[in-house]
Amino acid sequence: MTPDIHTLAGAYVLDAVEPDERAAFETHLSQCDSCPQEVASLRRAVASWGGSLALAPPPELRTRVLGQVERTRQLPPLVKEVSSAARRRRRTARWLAAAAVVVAVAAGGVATQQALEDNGPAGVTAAQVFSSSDAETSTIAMRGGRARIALSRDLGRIALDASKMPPLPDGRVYQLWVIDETGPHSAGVVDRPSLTLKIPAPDAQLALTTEPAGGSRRPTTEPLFVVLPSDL
Amino acid sequence: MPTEPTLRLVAGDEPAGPDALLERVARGDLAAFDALYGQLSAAVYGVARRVVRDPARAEEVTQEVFLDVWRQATRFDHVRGTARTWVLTIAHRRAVDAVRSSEAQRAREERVSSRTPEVVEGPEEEVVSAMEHESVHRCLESLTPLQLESLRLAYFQGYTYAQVASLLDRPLPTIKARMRDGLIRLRDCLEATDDA
Repeated sequence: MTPDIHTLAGAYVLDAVEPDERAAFETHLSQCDSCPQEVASLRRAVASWGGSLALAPPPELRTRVLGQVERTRQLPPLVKEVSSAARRRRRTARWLAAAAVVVAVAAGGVATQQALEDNGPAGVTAAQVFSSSDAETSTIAMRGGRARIALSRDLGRIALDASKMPPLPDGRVYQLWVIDETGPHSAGVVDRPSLTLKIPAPDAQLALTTEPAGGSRRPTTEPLFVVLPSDL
Repeated sequence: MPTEPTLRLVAGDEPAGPDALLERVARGDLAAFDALYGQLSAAVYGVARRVVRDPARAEEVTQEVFLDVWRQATRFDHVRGTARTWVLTIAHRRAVDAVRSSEAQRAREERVSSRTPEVVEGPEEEVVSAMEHESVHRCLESLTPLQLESLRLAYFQGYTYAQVASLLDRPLPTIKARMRDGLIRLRDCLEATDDA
């Protein structure tokens, strides 16, 4: 990250940045204590400016907008402390607990299937997913850090920002799992600050565990978090 | 009291502002959405017109903005700002996206002149809050010429700071800094006006 990223605040609120800079600045924003307040205050000023340009739209536009809205579903609200997901999490924990028994036999330096990619088929980077105009993002608090996840249906990918996840002791790695009705499948070891993967099937969940270096074929620990991508 | 499926706004002591309306929009209240449209559509359309210029395209942008507002109202976080600021932030972002994608389509087209053209105020009825208009203009005038030019090229033309720097033939860090300190000055001036 460039040292002067902070001075990008003005260009950022004016939308005068390229998508990758926007993503970089938003990452900075999530890590900087004074920035959100500065950005909010500058946005207020820009909004006043915008408000001073007011011009009545043609009256028929209202009918069109209302008509379209009536036919459009709203996004489900984000659940802050996942209470409604608790049920799903319990179900998943059972999956993973069951799997952990199997693993004790099968584990040991297994080469895990690497489904994670820095670049997707279309060269999609995590930054692009985070800055996509349709991105649904969510921050997951972890003890001593956080993970950020973004999903873009337009790009067909999920991105994980692992740069703020708590560091692990030597010999341990984070591993991502896609859990469907047949159980957990490795999506790969998290060995980079950010990565992307294809959006899994609608009901599949995404789980993160810690595993021995090199990864496991099946999860061997309780998930640190479980998300249902369609909830993002 | 349970919400009734009425199409009229519930009469209260004072008319609901954008923040209160957006809260109801988040719960799927179409009447509140209609009222919110009534309060903010001129500001949104005004921004869209200034940036994209073409009236038909500006209407499309306005429509996209309000569709975003409807879909994302459930996730609006009032801690991060007011409903009005949020909606106008979406409006500018959408307008700039529209300009940039059409620019990309006809990348060969001749360059726009380096001066910010005077805006056609148009025959449309202007529905500006006179007070706000007045204080914004006064505050913009308090900026240095380079701050003002940088802000205008970014805000009205949808240029990136790199494009502004190249147009004004100044180093990137200078323009980046002028955008930030220009906005800080604008903000401080507007806040001082509000307090007065």
